[in-house]
Amino acid sequence: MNGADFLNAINGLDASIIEEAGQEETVRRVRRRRRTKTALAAALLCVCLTAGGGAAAASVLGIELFNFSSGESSSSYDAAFQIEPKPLSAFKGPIVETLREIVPEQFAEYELWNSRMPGVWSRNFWDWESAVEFLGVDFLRAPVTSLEPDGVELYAHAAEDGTLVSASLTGNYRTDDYNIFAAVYIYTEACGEGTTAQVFSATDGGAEYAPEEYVTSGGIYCRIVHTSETENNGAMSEGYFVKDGLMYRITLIERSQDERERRAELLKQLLEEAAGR
Amino acid sequence: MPDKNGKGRESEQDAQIIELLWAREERGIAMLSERYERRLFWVARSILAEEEAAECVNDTLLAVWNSIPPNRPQYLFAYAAAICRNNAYNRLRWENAQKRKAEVVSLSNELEECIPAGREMQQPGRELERLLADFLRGLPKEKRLLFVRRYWYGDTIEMLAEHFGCSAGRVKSILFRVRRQCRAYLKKEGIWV
Repeated sequence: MNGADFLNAINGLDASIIEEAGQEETVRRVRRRRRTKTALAAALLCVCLTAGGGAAAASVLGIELFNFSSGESSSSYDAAFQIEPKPLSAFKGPIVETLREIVPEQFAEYELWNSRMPGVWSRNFWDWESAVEFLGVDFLRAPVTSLEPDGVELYAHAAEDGTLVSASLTGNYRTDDYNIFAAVYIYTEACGEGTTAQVFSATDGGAEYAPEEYVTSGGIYCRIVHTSETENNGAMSEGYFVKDGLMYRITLIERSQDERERRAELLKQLLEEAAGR
Repeated sequence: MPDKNGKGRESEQDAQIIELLWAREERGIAMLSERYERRLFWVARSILAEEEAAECVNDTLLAVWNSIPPNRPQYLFAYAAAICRNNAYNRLRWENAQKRKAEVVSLSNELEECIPAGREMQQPGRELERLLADFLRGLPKEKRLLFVRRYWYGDTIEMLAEHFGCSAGRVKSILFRVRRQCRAYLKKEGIWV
């Protein structure tokens, strides 16, 4: 058990104790606070799937960026793309049996207060090769090989019977100047036709966004968003592209100063590398 | 009969909401939303970004509607808040495939100090919840509130300092001592082998 497990385990703390602390009225008055400098590193991401109507947001070129908003307490934008579902038969690795075994149990044992979300399963791997081997697919390569990953995280989302619906693989990298994430999003036929995948990128506090378009030397169209925190000097850049029905997302988070030109240059190098593979 | 702080009246309102939910009256969920939506939002907001937190609250209201009946909670806000917090952490696990929210990482790191050294805990979960509740009941109220507000509600050190009218240093110091006490208590109870 680690601190995160402990944090999770205390969710079911005695209700009278939670109630007592929750009744302290004045706490709410000081809620609107300034965030720390770590706010950008705290950027939250989510992926959701929308059927039909949401598809309008995704252009034929691949990625559509929209809903840019900057507020006092949080800022965000959305990226959407029309998915190209992969057949379930393309997944030949241990993930198939693993999900069939684990996910129905997750649903059967789900407890409202204490359970993790059923249908979601994750595993960490040392490298891309191991992660791809676990999926057992032949359409995916490591997007970035010029850097050594600290690890690769697989998130799988399955239906109640354990059928794989979607998966993301994210390689984590660290250099002297950046935290870097290279992610690939995969969707299966279990999503259904005409589905748009939507990725949400948010930061705490106000932010200025500078979108940019970029075409790689191989002709892959990329969307880039440079994000600068308005008060805390945090900065990151994210690049997106779609290739062979997969969405790729590369994120660079500055570890010190906001130097957009330098960051953009590296991001484009990584996009070239990922799109060229 | 309400006391001078109106607590009795609050409980009566909660009881009324529970009765309405129990009778499958949609007015119950509307009243619940009106009464607790903002507070639930801040439970979720301490874990998630603003937009996600709002979605999390909606999920929570639906979950309360779907779970009463069969459940009949004694403390309505605590019941809803526990669902909300669990939903928020579930979303964080699923959505945050690339980064961990800094404040949550900070909370997790601090709570590492509550875990006695040694091998794995034999029976995590319910046993830990029971022991933690016993430990917290034995603390002075201020310390208990600080601990629960920090680690259950996810309040920042600065917020706690402002709320409790003391310096951030004092809050950190109290929390540090409580974490050490907690570790010693759990070790004494022998749930770690």
